[in-house]
Amino acid sequence: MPEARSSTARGLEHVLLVILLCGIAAVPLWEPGYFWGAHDARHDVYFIFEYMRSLDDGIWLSHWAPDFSFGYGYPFFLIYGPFTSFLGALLVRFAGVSYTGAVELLFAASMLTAGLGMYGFVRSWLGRNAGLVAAVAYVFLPYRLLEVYVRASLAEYVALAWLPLILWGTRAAFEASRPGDNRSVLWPLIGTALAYGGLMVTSNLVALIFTPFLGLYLLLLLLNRINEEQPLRQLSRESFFPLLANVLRIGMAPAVGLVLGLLISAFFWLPALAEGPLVSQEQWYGGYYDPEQHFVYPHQLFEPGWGFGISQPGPDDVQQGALGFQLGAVPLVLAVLALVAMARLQPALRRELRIFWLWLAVAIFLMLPFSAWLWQNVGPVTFAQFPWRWLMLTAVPLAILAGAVAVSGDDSSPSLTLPTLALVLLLLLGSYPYLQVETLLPTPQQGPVSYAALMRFQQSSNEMTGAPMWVDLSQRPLWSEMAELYVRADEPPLPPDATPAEQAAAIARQAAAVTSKVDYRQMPQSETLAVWSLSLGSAHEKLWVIAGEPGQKVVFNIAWFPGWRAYIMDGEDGPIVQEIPVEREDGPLARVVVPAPEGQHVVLLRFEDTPVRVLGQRVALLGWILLAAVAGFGIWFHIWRRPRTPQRGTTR
Amino acid sequence: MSSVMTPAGRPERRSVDSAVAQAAGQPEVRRSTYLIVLLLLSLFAWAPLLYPGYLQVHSGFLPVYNLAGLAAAPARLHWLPSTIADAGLLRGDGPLAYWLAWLIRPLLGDLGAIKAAFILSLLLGGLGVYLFTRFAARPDQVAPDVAERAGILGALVYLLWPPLLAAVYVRGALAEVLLMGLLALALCAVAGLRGQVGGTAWFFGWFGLTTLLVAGLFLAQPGLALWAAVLLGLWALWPLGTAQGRPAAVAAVLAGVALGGAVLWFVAGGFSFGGDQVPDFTAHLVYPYQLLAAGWGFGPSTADWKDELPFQLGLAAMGMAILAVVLAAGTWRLSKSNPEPAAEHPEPADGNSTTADSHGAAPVTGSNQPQPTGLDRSELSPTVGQVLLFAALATLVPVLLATTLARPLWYLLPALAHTLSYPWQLLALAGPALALLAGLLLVVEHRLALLAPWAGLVALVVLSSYPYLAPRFTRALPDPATPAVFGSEVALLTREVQAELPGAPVAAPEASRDEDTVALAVNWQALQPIDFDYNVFVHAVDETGALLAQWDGQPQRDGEPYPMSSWSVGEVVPDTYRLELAAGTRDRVAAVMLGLYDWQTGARLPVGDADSVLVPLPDQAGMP
Repeated sequence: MPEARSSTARGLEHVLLVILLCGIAAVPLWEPGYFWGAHDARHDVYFIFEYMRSLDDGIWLSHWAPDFSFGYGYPFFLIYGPFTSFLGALLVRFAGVSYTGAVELLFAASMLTAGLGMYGFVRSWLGRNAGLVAAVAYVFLPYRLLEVYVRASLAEYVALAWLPLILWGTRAAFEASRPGDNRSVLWPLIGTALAYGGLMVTSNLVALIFTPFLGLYLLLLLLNRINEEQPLRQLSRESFFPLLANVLRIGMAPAVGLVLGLLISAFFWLPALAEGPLVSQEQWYGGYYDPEQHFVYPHQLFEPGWGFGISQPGPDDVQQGALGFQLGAVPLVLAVLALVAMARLQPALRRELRIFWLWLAVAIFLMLPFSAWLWQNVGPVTFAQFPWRWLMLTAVPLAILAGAVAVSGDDSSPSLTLPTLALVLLLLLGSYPYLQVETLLPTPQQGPVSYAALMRFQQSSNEMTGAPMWVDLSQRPLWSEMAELYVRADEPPLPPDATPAEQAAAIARQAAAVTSKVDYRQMPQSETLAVWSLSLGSAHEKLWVIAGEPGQKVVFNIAWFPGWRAYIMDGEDGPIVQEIPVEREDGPLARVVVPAPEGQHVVLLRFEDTPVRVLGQRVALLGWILLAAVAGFGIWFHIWRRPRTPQRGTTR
Repeated sequence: MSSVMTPAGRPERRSVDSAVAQAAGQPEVRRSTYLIVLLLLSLFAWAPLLYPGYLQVHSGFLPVYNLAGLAAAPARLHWLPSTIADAGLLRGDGPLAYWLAWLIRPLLGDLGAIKAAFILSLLLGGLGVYLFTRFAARPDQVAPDVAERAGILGALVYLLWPPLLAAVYVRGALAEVLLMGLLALALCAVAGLRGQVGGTAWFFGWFGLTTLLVAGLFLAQPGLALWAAVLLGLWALWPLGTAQGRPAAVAAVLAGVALGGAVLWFVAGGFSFGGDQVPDFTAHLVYPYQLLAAGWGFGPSTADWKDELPFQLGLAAMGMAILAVVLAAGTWRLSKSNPEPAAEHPEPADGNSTTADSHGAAPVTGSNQPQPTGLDRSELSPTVGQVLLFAALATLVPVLLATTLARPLWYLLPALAHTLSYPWQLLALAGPALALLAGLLLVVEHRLALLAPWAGLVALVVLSSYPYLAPRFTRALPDPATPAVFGSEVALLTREVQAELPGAPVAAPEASRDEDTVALAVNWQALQPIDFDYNVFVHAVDETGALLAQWDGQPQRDGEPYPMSSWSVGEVVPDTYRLELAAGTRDRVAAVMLGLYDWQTGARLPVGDADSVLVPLPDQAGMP
């Protein structure tokens, strides 16, 4: 027992170190203020701000962002993983955290999750010391720090925290299928499902580019395991069915885990897949977004420079003050030396590490100009949008290979060794110059967070101005009456260092400025149609409509999209009486048009779930039920299988 | 090879680090793996050369111009690089680097070939130190993996050695970089010749290789090669165990000197030791503190202590070398005071030098084996001790000669100064020996050769030089066939007559936009510190040479005057000059003349045989 305790205590040393060192990576976030100048720092805040609007209306699963595109709105959360925005909104709503604080908190929590996840994964097969080195490498890789402090890419950063957890879960599920292995397959399976599901709802981009690599890794694990039980070199025609049985037995658990992950996240990806194409993507392609302008030149992978600007065409990003694309000196050295370390390991582990080398090589190749043909002809390659974004996928193999240098190969020796500590310190030292953040006071185009600042931000950056596919992009709105009202209500202008109370007051004041999204300029001058707005929410508006003649229509300053439906109600708070078919404006803005039936009515316009969204939610519900069932069954099986000890009081 | 069980109950193969303890046998990791590792790690040193352009270095594009000159020369075997005023046979570049580049030129073009020559030189240096260190580590006496890892460490120390990086990325001294590469190989070849135990064929092989490499040094950079030959001669004579092979090594070095000299004589058509000498040679001696200064700059060597050129020897290189020497000295003292092997230091079975196993610890990374608490060093073989002593002296002597401490010597023997442009060039000779010392640290203290500590040392080497791997780049690429160097100070890299350039700095702000204009866009590059603010003149001329419009003034940057005395050596300065043409004269403009002149005397700076560069107009249709 004392030995076991000692071993556990020594194991805790590693975990504690991971936690503390991840804390160091988060230190710049503790700086007062917010890094408004980071590329997506404003986006992160306003994504949460928009999700909060839905949450305030009791909509927990939001698809519509009502204030984007200058108030015309578009189904942003239909195409963009909502998990981080949702978590941020929860923090703001229930923990009283500021918008900027929520972003920083999520970044810090993700660092910790990523570090612990990577530690757990690598520890499970290469030992604690290797796990520690890999965890530190994963958190301190220059590109990972760049994701936080230069790009402020919250969804991508959080998504990368799921990757080691998925790898850990699937690998453990494979291992649990080993004959005679007493470990339960339950937790790896559940872990895989939760982590993969989490990835799907966090960043569809990361999920899309990670999954092929995951598939490759799992294939190797499967072959490794099968080879152990049924050597592949000795296969014959007769061994086909036993092979099939082995494949099913060994591959079942990880496959079930991944499928469950897909099921529980279907509420997001199914509508995204079906309805995502209905949102214009053109503005994110071509021009500045032309991927061929943003290839990484080979020398840039080794370039020590660091900048805070956005990616520039050509090889001079760092020289122009833009972001650097280095792989990281220390992690790369350790990854190279892993070639030597691999020779110490048994063939199966060596093959596993080779897969990560292949992974690293492919990810690097896809960043370089040599891969231009793939960018032109292979669709999935372009999911990354910019070639340099494949750097994110180098982080996983780089960290694992770096950890391999500290491999003990013998988990009975969990003590923290001095060389391991030295490697950890070198990793920290190598990334220390990049542990910096540009904390700024917000400009009026950035913040403090408010409707007015959001409108100004959209106008100055042309960001968050997406539109459904029916909108003529050449005549896309560049401002709106709603935006004007919000900005006018920003009087006196919110100072850059406004207190939370001042911000809340300003947001409430500005929200009150826009009471309706009806386009009153479209009302006929014949006084045959009168419209009063009774209430306006993030995804609905209720009107009192008096139509003196048939054929009258109410035009809303809302972009039309499947899901907008209108009803006649029996009084302001009465039940729905009749549905009115919503029309799409036949104009460049393709707005929502609601025919007004003759007479006086209360009309409700609201954004609802389409059949595919409902299907997604039901599939997800089924997934959660299955997951619960699997968990329940597993727990029951675990208890049932546990050897029963004689009860007290029984006679011999 | 021992086996332990993993938590999953599978046997775990223990290898390298337990086998570091195994004195004999093949390396557990294949040598090819170590070579791949070396090649991949060397990328750090030469990755900046993959930039799709060139470097803003002191030599500017002269290597490219030289290569183009070689390609155009009617007799390539009688060609010497001589784009600027001849620095003399000893101080100037030899032809070897350009011959090498000329071979690559059909594949990569002029610029690519020069960059490839740099990369090749670096790789030769890395390979040389790797082999040299492996030899010195005596793989027959230490575990093969220790020797391999020592070789990798030494090679990386050399590849990322700040003076070598400065020679490439600050000075652009191609010939010198090649010499540094060949020197490491030559040291290894001499060692190979001295230690060869094979048959006659091997003997002649080593002898020939040594001779060729020494000759190559002279064809790379003759002046520095003289000093290198002395170093190699000393290495050939150095007492290493037996005297066997010593005469042959000395003979090979001498044969190399003779061969190199003969080829050089043939190429140059005789020996000419004239040329311009840097004034006040001894003022460029390095102040000792500069060897330790952490700064990095891109400026030139100055005749005082305010050099912007870095002279540091590198933190990792020096630290590891010092550690190796101190630990070796400690071991030597230990063995002197206690000639009998200590009980905890049993001799291995084969009676050769001890290994990590002989410490009583089986040092497996991260294992639960008892960890030694102190620096429990191995016994040092006398041969390794001799090598260490040579390496220490071969490091110290050139370094001392390059510092102000050696000023009296340079005063006493002024003829020596004719072999070098600057005294600090001697630092180049210290590189291989310093790297060798650093690599041998693993031999002196075997536990540092275990995987994780070794990885830490390698990472430390990379990390300590990483900030210096950010050279200044340029994408202004001249046509190497038409070099234009004013005096020997300023190169005109590119010149292009353009249509009116929107947003370009207007050289003559009073210019009316209604008038026709001719814009000339150029890129200048300073090749030396310029101590006078020359004026630029730009003339638009017709076919007869008659002046149609002109502009005179100081060079500009971002619309502001940027006098030449402010330019740093190697800096590329883009500038644009716009000439306003009188109405109706635009069609008569045939060319634009560009030149530099002394505004006090009006004397123009020569450019080749002329005093200006004529830039023809592009297609008239492209004119505004």
